[in-house]
Amino acid sequence: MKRCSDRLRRPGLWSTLVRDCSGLVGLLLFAAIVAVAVIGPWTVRSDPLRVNLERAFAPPGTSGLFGADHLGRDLTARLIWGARTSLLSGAGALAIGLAAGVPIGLVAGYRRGAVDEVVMGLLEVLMAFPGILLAILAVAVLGAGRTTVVVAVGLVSVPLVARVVRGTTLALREAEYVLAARALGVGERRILWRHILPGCLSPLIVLSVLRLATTIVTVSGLGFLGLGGDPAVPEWGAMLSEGLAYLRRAPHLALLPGAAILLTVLSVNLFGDALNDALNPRLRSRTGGPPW
Amino acid sequence: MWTFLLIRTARAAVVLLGLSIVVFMSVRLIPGDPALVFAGDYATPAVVAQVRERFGLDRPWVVQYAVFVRRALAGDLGASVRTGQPVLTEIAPRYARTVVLAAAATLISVLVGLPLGVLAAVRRGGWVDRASIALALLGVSAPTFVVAVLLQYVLAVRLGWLPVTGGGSLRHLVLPAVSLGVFPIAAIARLVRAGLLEVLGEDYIRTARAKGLPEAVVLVRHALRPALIPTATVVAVQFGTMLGAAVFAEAVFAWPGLGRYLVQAVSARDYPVVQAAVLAVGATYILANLAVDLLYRWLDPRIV
Repeated sequence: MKRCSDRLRRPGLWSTLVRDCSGLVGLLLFAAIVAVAVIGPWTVRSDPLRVNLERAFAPPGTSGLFGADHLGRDLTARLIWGARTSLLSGAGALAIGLAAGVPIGLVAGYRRGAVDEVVMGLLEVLMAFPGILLAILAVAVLGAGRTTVVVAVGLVSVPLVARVVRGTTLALREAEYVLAARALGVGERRILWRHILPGCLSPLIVLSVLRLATTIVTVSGLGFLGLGGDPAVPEWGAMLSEGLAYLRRAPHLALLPGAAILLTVLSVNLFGDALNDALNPRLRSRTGGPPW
Repeated sequence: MWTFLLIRTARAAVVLLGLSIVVFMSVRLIPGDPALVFAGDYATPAVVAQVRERFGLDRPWVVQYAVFVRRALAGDLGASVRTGQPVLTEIAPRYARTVVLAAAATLISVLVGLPLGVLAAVRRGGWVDRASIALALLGVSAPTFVVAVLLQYVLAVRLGWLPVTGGGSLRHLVLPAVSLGVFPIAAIARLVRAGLLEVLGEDYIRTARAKGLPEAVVLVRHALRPALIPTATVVAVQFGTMLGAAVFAEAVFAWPGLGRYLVQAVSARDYPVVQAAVLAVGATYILANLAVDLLYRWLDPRIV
């Protein structure tokens, strides 16, 4: 990897991260996108839902920074609000995956035996078919909608999170400090949360960052397929899908949300890879999931 | 070898069984009465009762599952709620078109990714290497639906080189297959590069060069083969993954495959079609993974 600056050669995670030029670019880019999602909606004056047919298909620069869509809605406002929807949905799905996957992985790895066999067998079944298909099946069962999509994409993440946590737990349960805690009579729950979970954090952080890219893409993908619920709510995937119908007349309607998705995923992947290199120097593999 | 084959096949069979349970249970987990959903919003109580009896929804789940498996094995996957046609008749041609799409994307990814990976390894540090790394990063970050829209805009709408949408000819296949193949191109190029760089440092490669063998022979005959073992498995895994991701390429280019049909079925709450489509793609994915295991064992007999 190229060095951004020799002056930054200091030991520690942060310095390792910022020395990795691509990682730093990814982090800054992602921070900017998050800032847009958090602060942006307060700064734009126009309502992203307000229809104004007189402004329909206004090209960029003539009506707001990015023009207007086929219903005359302000595209800048929709892109900014879309950032919030897409990032929140992706983060929400990741949170569900972590909330369910971490305890499952901890218990399966710590208990081993029949519990491990049954749990991992079930998770293997869930991982045995493409994640997007599992998400579509979950949406089919629960019904289309924003919450459903977040839950569905979260469910797809559960087996991956559980597998990573289980693998680390299997190794840590034999560590001397865990054996000592057990010998002192410390309860199972306390051992898992206070002694084993902190040891799982490093791979979990890397997985979470890289997984965030996948959850954002999957959530946007379901929105693109029309399964994301209310199409009026600004969301990048749904906006891209709407713009597809007007690709000849107003290509920016599809290309801008597409670029927003691409930039977000690219920034998360760049940062995640650098984080992986910094936290797991022996595993310098780029592990982002398939970007449907 | 036979023990390996037996264990892996048994594992695949168990996963297939699990898949069938997940698919079967999915419809039973629909909030509310599945009979009401199957019969439609305006069905009379008599029709709902008829549907309940026809689908066996009034019987215990174990019995329902046994009937579901027995019928599925006999090729009876029920009838589409929308069209009334047997699901198998509806999905078979679409499934074939999705497999063709995934196979074409796989072929493209190998034809582009393999030489790109070799070039990047041979010219390590050069512009080809740097370009391939940048391309790979872009490839793994670009969602299929974004790539598809971009390709459609540039190559079909602006330049008019290829049809914008539709199916039925080789020209229609190009854009969906390329957009689907971008991610595997990146993955294959990176894997081939990493594998080759590792092998090129081995003693036997130095021996081959010391014997005076031309570099091309050293590369193709001695270095490429071991480097291709992990690549072959990734190609097979990618084929399975693309069967799922095909849904996006099909949606953008209106390719009449199973993915597009599945999304339409989800929107219309046509559950027999959803079940059958998920079962078909899931089973193919599992079988592709089984093929990967066997291929890996065949290519590298040290695997146990």
